[in-house]
Amino acid sequence: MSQWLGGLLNRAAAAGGLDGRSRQQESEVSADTLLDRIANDQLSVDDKQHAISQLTSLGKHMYQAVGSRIPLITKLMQANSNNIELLRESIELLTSIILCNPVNDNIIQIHNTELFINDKSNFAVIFNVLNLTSDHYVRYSVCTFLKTLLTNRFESVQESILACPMSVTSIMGLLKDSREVIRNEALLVLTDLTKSNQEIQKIIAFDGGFEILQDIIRIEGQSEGGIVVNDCITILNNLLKGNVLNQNFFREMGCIPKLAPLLQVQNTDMWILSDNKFSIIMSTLDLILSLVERNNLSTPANQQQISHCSMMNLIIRLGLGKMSSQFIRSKALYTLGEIINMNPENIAEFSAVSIKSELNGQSQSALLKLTLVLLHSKDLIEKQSAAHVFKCYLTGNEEAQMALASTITPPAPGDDDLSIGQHLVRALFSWEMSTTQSSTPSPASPTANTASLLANMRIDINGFWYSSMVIIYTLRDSTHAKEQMLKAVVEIPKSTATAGSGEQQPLTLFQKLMAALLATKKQQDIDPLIKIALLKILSIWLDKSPRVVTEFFKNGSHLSFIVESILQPITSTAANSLQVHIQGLFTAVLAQLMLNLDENNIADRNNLSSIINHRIGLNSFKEKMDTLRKTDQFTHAEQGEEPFQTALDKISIQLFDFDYTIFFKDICDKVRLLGTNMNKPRPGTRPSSAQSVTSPNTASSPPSSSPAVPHISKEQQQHLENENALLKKKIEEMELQHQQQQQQQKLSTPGNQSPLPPVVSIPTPTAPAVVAQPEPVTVTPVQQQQPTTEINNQNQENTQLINELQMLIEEKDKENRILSEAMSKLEDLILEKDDKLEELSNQIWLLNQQLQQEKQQNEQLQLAQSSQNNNSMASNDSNVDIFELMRLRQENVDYDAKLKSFEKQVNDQHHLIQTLKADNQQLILSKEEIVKKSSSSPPVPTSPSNVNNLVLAKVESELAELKIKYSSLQKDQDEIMDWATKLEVENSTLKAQLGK
Amino acid sequence: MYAFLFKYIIIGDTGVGKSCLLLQFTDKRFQPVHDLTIGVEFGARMISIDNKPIKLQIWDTAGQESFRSITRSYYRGSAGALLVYDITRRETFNHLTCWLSKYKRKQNNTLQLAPPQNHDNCVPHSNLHLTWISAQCQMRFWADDVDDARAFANSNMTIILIGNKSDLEQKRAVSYEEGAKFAEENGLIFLETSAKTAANVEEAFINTAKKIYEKIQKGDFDIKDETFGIKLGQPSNKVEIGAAPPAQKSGCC
Repeated sequence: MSQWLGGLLNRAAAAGGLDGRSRQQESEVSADTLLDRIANDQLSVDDKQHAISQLTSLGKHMYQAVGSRIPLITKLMQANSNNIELLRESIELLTSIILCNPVNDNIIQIHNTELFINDKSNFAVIFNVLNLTSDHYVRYSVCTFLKTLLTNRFESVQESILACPMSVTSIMGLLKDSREVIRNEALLVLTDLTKSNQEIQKIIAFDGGFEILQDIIRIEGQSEGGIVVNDCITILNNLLKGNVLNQNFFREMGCIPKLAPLLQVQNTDMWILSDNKFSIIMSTLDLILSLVERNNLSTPANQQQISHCSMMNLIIRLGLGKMSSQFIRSKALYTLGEIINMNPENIAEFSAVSIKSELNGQSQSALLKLTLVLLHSKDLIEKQSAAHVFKCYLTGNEEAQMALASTITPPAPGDDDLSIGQHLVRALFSWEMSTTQSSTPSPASPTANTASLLANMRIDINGFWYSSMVIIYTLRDSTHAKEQMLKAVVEIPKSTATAGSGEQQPLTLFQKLMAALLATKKQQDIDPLIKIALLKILSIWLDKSPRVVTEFFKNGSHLSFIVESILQPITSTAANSLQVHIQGLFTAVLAQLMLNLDENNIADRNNLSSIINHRIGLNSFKEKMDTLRKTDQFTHAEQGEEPFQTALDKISIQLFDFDYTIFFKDICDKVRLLGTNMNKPRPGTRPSSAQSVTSPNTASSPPSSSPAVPHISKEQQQHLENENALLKKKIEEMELQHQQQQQQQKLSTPGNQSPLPPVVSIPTPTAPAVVAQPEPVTVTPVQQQQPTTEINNQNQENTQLINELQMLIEEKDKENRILSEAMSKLEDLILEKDDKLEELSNQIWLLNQQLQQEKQQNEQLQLAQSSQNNNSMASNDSNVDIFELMRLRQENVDYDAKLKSFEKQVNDQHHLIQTLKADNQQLILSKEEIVKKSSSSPPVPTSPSNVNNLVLAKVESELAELKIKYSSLQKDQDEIMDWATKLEVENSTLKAQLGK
Repeated sequence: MYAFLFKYIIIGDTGVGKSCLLLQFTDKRFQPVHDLTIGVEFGARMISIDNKPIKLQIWDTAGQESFRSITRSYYRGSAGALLVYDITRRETFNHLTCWLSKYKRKQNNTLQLAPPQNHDNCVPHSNLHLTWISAQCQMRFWADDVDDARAFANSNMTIILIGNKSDLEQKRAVSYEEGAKFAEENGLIFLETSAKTAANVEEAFINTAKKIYEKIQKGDFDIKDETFGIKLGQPSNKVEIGAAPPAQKSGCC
């Protein structure tokens, strides 16, 4: 390596010219001779020292030569550790060969650094020097040397230092040096050394690093101190960030309260803050953020200490007080959020804080102050930070959510002191007021002040947006809060204004929200953010809350508005760039309605499912949600919670936060599941086992399965018929057996019908038979009588019969399942037909239009020219159309044929079911007879036959259900037929028209 | 606050129950399945000796070989060491000689405890010091550590030998007498403990603290030198710093 480097260097020198080359060689020679002199044991220390200073004076020409023989220097230092001069010059020499020049590529310097690091004994010498000497210059130059090493290769240096046991202690010794210059240099060394290496961080903590650093901070005057204090805070932050052990240690050693003075500000600081103090406060807030990091085991305990030593109050003061710097205010607010996050105690304490206003001496709660900041601050970062506090305050804290929800009340007239909820609601509908006010009095001249209006709205939009966020936090994940908010009244109609109009209900927040959403339809130029925010609130509100869904359906226009909005084609103008988002959210709202509908509300459920399946189409429904998921805004928010940002240019309103993306994806997943069940009629009425059998088939390939249906059904039919025959046979056999049994019984024991025989049998002879019997029989083995063996045989046969019956019933069950499967497939087919019919009707409509156009053209032509030529031209045109029509008609006929074949299939299936049902009934009857007989003859198997009866009843009810479904299917089929005939009629009229 | 602060380290082979001992002492609970300690862990507890509040700052080191180079950074600054072996695993007892090496052993040349002959000249002249080598890696570590060995531990470190897992009497592989003998020969305090049942755990930590306290009374330490792992409690005026609330709970602005 060094040779290669040497070659490189020589070549570089050669390029510089002959002169450069000779000088280079000369110096290389002399560097080597000087190094040889150092290596020579014969020479005195003074001579060696002289050689070192000569080497230093050679400058960069000796870098490589010295670098290749570093151990020579360190050994000299080791041997003469009491020679201060020599030590100093040696360290300076070593520093010079690794000190990088910012302009050059510094290959040699970096290589020298590596050479030094690779030999562990080099470090031992350096730290030994530190331990032995207290000379100012030596210690200072060691600091510089270490700093340079760390700058070049900090990770390898960290590792070498870890491998050298006492090194960290030696460096801590530098930190304790009473000379400020050395201490300050050591701080710089530590800044690099403590970066990202947890083991070094721990050793520094063990060696009392926290205490030393906090002592320095105290000596330097806390927040009044300068850059040194800031360096200490930075190192503390390095030591603590992500290091659970150090955080525990820091807390256990009582270091957290010692941070408080760093956040203290005087009244004069409020207006103007020195740069140093500004950065000290900012980095202390960073440090506190490290202590209350998310997903860190020690965070709860740290949060507790922070509030116990009243540091939280200091931070509230920084965030909500009169600090002139919005950076400090914002960061303090953000930090406050993290301090109360997931910590009920701190949340309670924060909500109890009140702030005294110096203007009127009144005190208002910190939460109210926070609301005002959220709504009225001009600074977006500050608004965002305030929203962050609300988020931490409300998330997972139902008590707080309920409390906030309860503050939403109609404002008392003339009262300016609004509650938090009133402030939020006012901001939420501020845009509406400004637009309606302008549009209602002068609808004739709307263009005059739209520009100014828009400007107004734009100013307000941030306040609106963040108030909507707080409403979302208030609603999220709390059924109680959702229901409480449902009761929230926002307006009481003024009795004077609407005098005589009868009883007017007070307007609830939900009604107001829906009304506002409906109103957006009429306003083309409305900010898309408004729609997005309102829809987000609605989608969250509906979540897991059937009562809210019920409230939604109270007004019939709501649903149609949602559906219309989803069906609206997306225009690709720039102004509507957020259309995709809006439609995705509308779809999510519809999905939420479907998902959270009260289970008993079948009418609305059917309505919704037909809307999704027929009017929107399940695929396009899912697609609209997926499109939203693919937008940049969504994928960006998906990445996770954003850390606090102070850069102004990066701050903008984020459409979605991380939590909302999770929420939204959850809806998507549920919709996907919903889709698999949606195609089937009346989910829930069918046994779950049947559902699980059918769902994969229908979900995987509904269109491709259609041609396969006739095959399957034929096969099934055959299969079923076969089975039925088998069943019949079995039943016959069973009947025969039973008759035989009865005869036997009659012959042998005429008097055993009494339920409780007087003589209790001796169990011994019956024992083997009892074992063979199924459980229900073993419960009543007492009624054995003379001659026991025969009866035993009969009983056994009986139970066998019952078992067989049960098996038969199970088989029937299976058949039913297969049938229902086939039915759902048929239904799919019908759906498909539906779509095709729609297409056809569309085509016919188009044709109609064309025809009308042609007619008009013809008329015009006839009016303009009455010559025959032109007429023939026109007829030519119409001829073309006639062909098209013919083709269409042919198509229609084809479809008709298909429809008929489908109908036939359905009928076949129906027949099959009927016959099966008849068979089944016969079976049931025969079984009942058997059961009766068996229950009347021996009282033993009553309980199993009961079970069988139950099963039978079940089967029967299922069959009845199937029949009902079937009839509904037939109805559908009829409807389709109607359609088809209508189409034909239309077609024929069209034809007639054309003929004319 | 506290009158004194003592720093402890817990050392010994991997799996002998070091972390469990710490957890039992600080949290008074037993966790049968414990993650492998990486590097070091930390725990603290207040105790009282002679009616004086004493804070114990305990550093639990990783027993694994690969962490030795890191854990030895913790030796010098400690006032007490808990040297732990597992009474059900003979090898952990045998390794004690590698954890603990006494200069006088070299002179006595006791067969069982002497370091290998070829390294004898390298053993530094310290009254009592620790090396962090296990039998298998002895050669490598001896060669590496000789130069700075003298700095590894302070000569006044109080060491307690702990035979852990005393609840597993039926699996015992090292007798009480053997442990006691080893301790006596090396001038250590000795106790058998069970981190599971908490038997003798309190005593192990407190007896060590008592011993250190005695040494302080005798004047064996220079209290100001923090390399001994002992710190005097802060004067009361310093403690105040964070205690005085700068703002009231209500009306903080």
